[in-house]
Amino acid sequence: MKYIACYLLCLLSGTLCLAQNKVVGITGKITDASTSEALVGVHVLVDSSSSGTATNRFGQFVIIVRQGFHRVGFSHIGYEDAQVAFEAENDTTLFITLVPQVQELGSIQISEQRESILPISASMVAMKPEEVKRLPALGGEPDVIKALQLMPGVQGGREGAAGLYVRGGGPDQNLILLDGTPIYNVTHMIGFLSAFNPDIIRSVSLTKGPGPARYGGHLSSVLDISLKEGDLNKKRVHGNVGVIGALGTIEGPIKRTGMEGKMSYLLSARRTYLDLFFLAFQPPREKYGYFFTDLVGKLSYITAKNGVYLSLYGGEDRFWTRYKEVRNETTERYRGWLKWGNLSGSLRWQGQLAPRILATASLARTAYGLKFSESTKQEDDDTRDTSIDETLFASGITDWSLKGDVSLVLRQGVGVKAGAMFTLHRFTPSTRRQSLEENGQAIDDLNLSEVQRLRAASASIYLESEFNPFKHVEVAGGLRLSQFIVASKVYFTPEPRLSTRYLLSANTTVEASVARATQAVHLLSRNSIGIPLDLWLPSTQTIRPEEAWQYSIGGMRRLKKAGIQLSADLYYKQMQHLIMPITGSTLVGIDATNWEDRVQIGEGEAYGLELLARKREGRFNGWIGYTLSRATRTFDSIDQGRRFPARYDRLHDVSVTGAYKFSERWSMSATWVFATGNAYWLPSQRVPAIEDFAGRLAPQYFGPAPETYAYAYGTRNSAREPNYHRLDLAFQHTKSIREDKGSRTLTIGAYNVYARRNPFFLTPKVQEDGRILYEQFSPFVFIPGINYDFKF
Amino acid sequence: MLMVMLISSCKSIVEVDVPENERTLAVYGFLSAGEEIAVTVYRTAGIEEIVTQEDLQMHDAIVIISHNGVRDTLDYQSDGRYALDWVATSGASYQLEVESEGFPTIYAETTVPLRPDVRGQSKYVGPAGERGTSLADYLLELSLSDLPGTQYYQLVVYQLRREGQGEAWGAGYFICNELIFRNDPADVGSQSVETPPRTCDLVYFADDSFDGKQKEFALKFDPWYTDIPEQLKISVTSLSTDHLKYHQSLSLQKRNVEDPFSEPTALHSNIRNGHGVFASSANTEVGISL
Repeated sequence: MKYIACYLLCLLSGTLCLAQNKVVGITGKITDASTSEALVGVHVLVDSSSSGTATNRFGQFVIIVRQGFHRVGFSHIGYEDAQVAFEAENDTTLFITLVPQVQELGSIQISEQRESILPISASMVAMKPEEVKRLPALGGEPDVIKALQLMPGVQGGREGAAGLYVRGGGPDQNLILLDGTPIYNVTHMIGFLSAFNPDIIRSVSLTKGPGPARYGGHLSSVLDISLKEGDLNKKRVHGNVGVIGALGTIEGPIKRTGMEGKMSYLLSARRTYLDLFFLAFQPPREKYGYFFTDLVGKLSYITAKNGVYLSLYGGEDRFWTRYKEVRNETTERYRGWLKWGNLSGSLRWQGQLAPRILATASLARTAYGLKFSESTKQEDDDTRDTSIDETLFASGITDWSLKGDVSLVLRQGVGVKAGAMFTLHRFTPSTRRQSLEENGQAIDDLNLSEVQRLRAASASIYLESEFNPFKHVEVAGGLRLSQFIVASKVYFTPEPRLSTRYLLSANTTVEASVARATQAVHLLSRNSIGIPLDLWLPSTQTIRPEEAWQYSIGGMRRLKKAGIQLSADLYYKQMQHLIMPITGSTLVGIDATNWEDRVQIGEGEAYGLELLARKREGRFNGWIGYTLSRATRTFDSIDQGRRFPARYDRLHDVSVTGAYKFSERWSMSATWVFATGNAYWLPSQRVPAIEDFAGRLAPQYFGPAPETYAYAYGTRNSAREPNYHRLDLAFQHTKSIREDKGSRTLTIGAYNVYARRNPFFLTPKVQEDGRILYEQFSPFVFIPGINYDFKF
Repeated sequence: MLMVMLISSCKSIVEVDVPENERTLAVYGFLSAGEEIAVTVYRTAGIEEIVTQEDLQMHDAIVIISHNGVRDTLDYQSDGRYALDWVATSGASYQLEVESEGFPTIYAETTVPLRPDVRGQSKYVGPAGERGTSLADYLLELSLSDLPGTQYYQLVVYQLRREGQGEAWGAGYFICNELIFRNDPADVGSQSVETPPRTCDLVYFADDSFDGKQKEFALKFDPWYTDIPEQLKISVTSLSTDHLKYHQSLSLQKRNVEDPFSEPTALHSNIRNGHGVFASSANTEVGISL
């Protein structure tokens, strides 16, 4: 405890010593000139210095300057730069509107987009929705998560999936925030698409690591996604029609007389419609289908110094089947469905408490659930006697959380942020119920597994500080104190975070960071396709929270004339108390009472080098990313405790993306990726399968069939899939309607244009003579896509 | 249909770069208290090697068993089987060593468990007037004295069946909810997991909940509908840990090996430098007349 106190003392003293008198605060809010939407991540620079600040998720900023004359500049990709000059005598509030860049094309003149300063860290990736939409996409469906997978240090797992494996971590180790609310399952179509459509997203940032102290609960990364706010000035409609589904969005102002501030709404809905197409080809007595839906809503109320936001997100995947069969004068009707999805919502307030103090508070609920139901109704055609046999299965997690943050700027570059969060978790690992009804009367009603609800709570407080101890040196330090309470067990964990950056010049920085994180909510997942039978479970008396330490050093350089950012990052991550299902275990029958027996506990290690060259300006933009990495696991119960490659360990990972704008109307983009094949654990030898019934008479069903074989596996994950590579292309034609009245964009493209047969998965096929041959399943071989997008 | 065609068209047999492991011996020795010691020796085969099990039998191995410092060599019989006229004894440890030219020498050890102390009786539980018919239900009341320390058991209930002119013992079904070994549902033989009550014809269980104590079981026996039950034989066997783990892993592997969505199952082995298992058991049978 004394070390924690010392650490906090250092942070505060470093911060407070650097705070000076005779300074004034400049607070401000930056919005889009056409929609009045708050702009996130706008760079704010004072007197053309090389460092500055950036607007928060509400478009706000606070800077502290000495009394006197100052020029404050504002820069944001896709917007014209702006600058204000004034005499700062007292605390001042600025309201800045940035004008979107007009890409006038005369003949072929395109105004250049410029990025003025370097990103905050090489470990952080920011992406605008426009960048996502420019990339070629599977089935023509632009996807935020898949765009992030093209960045160094991030991969998606298997072919076509929208998972996130960051720096050797697992898919459950990412804190994914949608308007500040955690989302547990971000994929649709068993992982082919993510829930995040760029049309409704304002900003995306991915921190490859635990991030600042304000974030907690996950080991590998923080993906912070802000939803757009509705247009405060004008009603707008946006639609998108693709091969798989369609999306519609409507937004606009809500005008009420006498209202102090401005109010807006945004409502967006998406649904796939492949099921409707296939329904037409199915026999009348047997129907089945699959679809998913997303529904997003946001209400914003904004005054000069405050904002209140109500955000809602609901997404659901549903597979259903039904049939009718007549036999022996009995009609049997079967109905079954499997559905899974998220439902989350948050109410947030943000405001300026004082000239230099910003605050936020939120109440949020997030839930992920899986439900399976089937019922069989039998009816005697003569007597009309009926019997109905029903089975229900449910599993899920629900969180309620309350959160508050306060940030205070003492002087330019010196700030303190503190906050607290409390979350109640409710886990329902498994609930099964079966009932039988005859002629309307209940015969049997059985709880196959009692409704088991595990409850847990997590509480955390944090303190962050940013300051410049020396010229050109920036330090950001923080401490998060986390408690996880489950049953009578309390896990208390201090999580220090420290990063420092040295500005070698206005265009070159080097940086180093260290961070510790813990994770007390685990995903018990089968090591395979993302079928949503995965279970979220809490730490227990014997299953400790997972822990990780991550160290990184890196640097960035901006090639000003070429408009290219170069970055390199070297990282090392050590993970402890990782869980994995015991060998051969299935998740069938697992519940709150026995899941601890189904897992094994071990450690992990990941290290690598990430290189990125990124051009975000001009007619041609894109990036080249390269990752050289290793991710390993060590479990005492596997291979005698020897280290083995993690399932998605990849030595090399290369991605090249580029988008070129030929004219105002025509553009094209391409993506090429290459990756070392995924590690696989496959049989390496076979042996006769000999069974013994302890010398007794063998049950007649269990006598070993002649010539049956068992298979000896080699070292875990020692086999490799073939190397992975593919090229995607997309062409876009955009027609803008004058006077900001909308646009029409047609995108035609193809995924994997040279038809590389990349493995989706490999299946051992046992031959009659016991040999094994491997069958590869490669569904993503030249997938064309078309997408039509319109706005008015 | 379009989807099925699309998926089917994307399948292909491929060559996979699986690290080729050294060929080793695969030895199976299941010692049973009160019975002679026998071991079967094979070699492993490559995944794609075209061979029969006969090709894998080792005829020229030197198989040595040691017990209390006394070593003896097993005689080759046939089909890769080697035997010795030693009788395995409960509580005794046996070491196995097998040599064969061109293969690493393998070593293994097992300790034969003690015979379970089990007693049992049946009780007719209805329905009324159906005793002696195939509709009758019986409660098998068993009493098992457990030894201190983790013990693993196998339980099978055999039913005497009359088939034509002859008689045969076959496994009968019983309700096994209480006995399911909590580590994994796969350690029961054939079972119905979808609908309760869970019925089994073979079950493995551990003494987690009654370590070192007297355990009373009451199993509901469900005779085959086609038979009129007369006699039952309850077989309770103490198993060495390796015996249990090997059979568990074999059962799971059979189920999972072709399922790309299941966690692969490694075959348990306690053979150093090779594969297979050297395990032991001790059995007690209780006859019950219905």
